[in-house]
Amino acid sequence: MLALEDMSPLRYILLRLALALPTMLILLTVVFLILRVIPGNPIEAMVGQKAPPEYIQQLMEQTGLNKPLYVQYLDYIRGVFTGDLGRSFIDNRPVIADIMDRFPATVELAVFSFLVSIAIGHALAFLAAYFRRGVDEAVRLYAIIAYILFIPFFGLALQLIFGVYLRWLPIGGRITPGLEPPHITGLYVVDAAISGDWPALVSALKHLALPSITLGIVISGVFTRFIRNNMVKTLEEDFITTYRAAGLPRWRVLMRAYRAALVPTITMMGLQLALLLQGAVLTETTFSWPGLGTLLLERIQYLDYPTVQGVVIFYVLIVVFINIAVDLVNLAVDPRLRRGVWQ
Amino acid sequence: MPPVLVVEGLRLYYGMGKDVVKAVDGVSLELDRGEVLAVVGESGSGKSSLGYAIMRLLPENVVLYDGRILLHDGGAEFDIVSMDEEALRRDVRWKRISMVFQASMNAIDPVSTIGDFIYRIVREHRPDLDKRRGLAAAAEAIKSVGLPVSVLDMYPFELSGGMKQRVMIALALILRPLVVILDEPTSALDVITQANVISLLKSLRGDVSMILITHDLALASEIADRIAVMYAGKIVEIGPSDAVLTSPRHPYTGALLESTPTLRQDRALSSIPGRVPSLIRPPPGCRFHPRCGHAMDICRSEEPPMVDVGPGHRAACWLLRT
Repeated sequence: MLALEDMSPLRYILLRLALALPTMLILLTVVFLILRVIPGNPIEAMVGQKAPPEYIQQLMEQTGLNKPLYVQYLDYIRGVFTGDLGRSFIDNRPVIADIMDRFPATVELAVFSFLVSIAIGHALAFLAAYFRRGVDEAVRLYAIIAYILFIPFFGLALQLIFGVYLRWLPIGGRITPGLEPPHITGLYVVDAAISGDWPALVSALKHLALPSITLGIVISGVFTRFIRNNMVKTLEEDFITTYRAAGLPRWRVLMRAYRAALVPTITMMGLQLALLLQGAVLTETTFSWPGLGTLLLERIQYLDYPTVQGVVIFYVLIVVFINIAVDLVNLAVDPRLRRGVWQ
Repeated sequence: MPPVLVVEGLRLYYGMGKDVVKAVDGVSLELDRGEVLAVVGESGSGKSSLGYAIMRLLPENVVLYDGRILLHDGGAEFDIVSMDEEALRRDVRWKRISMVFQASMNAIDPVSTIGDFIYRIVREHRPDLDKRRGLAAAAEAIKSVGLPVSVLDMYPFELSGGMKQRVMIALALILRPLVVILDEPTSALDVITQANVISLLKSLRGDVSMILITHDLALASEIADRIAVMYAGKIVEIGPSDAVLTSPRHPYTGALLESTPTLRQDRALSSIPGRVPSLIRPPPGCRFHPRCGHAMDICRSEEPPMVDVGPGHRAACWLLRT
């Protein structure tokens, strides 16, 4: 099978990308077919049913929707592999341009949610492993509750408390309109910091707070439980007894247990990052966050085939890249992988 | 000079479900400076638990840990059983007592190089050593157990079992402790490597006091100055190696010797009837009486006291009283 320890990292990346192709093709096909099965005509959805038939016919020809399905499919696949995701039925812009407009917002939300969940997950897992007993029980309970929280409902509760009653934080959007920082990376927080635009930075962070805490807490359930379990399991190993016998303080022994379990932890965090993108769809809609998730939802309603297909491919690519990144980080972290030998 | 280690009435009980396992049940012994004391016994006799109890490495489900473990270093005296956890960690563990574990295979941090692993422990007790000097000390220790210095840059998965055992011995000695507890140091090794480790241990004799926990009487006879025989959580006989091996006074010691193969005599190998008693519900009276060919009425009801049977040689058996 494909094992990182048998080859150079570069070769490994190329192979991983090549292996991602069939996955993408299958997903593309499925999405392509499902969209066509959804009842309704995208052109009618666009211009309304009362538009003159000749006009509708003209648009059908423009978009290629009048061709047989298999021709549409082949045209589309050819386009994708030449880097052309087509044009949106709605705004007639290249799909890639719409995606690039929305992508920074999703990245910003994902990164902050990820940070929140990592912070909570590590803090609670360490507390549980350090104190055990009651603390451990409480942490495990938290992990389960966090995991089963339904994002729209939980987000709504936070919006009510912190947005409506306490009025501390905005309940939707990325930034107070008019305060947008100059476009550099598209990430408001980064752009505002680079250009020294403090009001924009504060506004962007305030807008990020509720959505990233919502999503961060939900994801933190899995993190907490996973890191806690790994540490508790590792603490039973013989080398931990050596460290205890050798007089290392308890917290340093704990750090070593965490370090030894780092490879599975990183792998899991990478997988969660992919899950985070999925959770981001719900979070984005709950907080009217103008990212890829809201784009996807808007365009499904209009049966905007090219955009929906484009966003799905984009998600798949992200997951593929995250997986490769996880493997490369593990390569740096695990000496057994690095030395290319397994015992 | 007082003994370096005095153990008095040490008990370690731990819970297993609803039961209490009396793993160490009133053990007393003394260890002189530079002396090697072998603790021998069958599996389940509590000899490993004794080692852990002396290090105060207690299982999570411990229900009783008492008695005294006095460690003498010059004028200083430490009671390991009752001393403060932080002081134990700082002043006793590894600095004055270290241990070579039975499962040395997995006793080394899997994601550290040997050098980092050793330095991490050395630094805890010798904050004055920077990394360069700490690694130099590690190199010295590694050489002293007959390993190449290049081992310091290797990970445990790159070492053989024998090499890991040597690394653990080097680690146990690096801070020049007063006492080293060796828990079955050769049991997981092949015969050649065993021989190497044994000659290494022999060469260390005299510098440091050792408690050698083993089921291997041959190993004990080769290295130990004195031998303590443990049975069901208690020491039943203790004395100079020669005396214990040539004129055992406790029937259990005798039976143990007769069940050990030897190259010198041509005799049928015998086995001890019955099984090692449960440490949860040990037999009343003398714990060996159900398996003993000489058992009398008193053995079934009353525990025999330790009696002197020779110079420094003591055993606990009613036969010795009558």
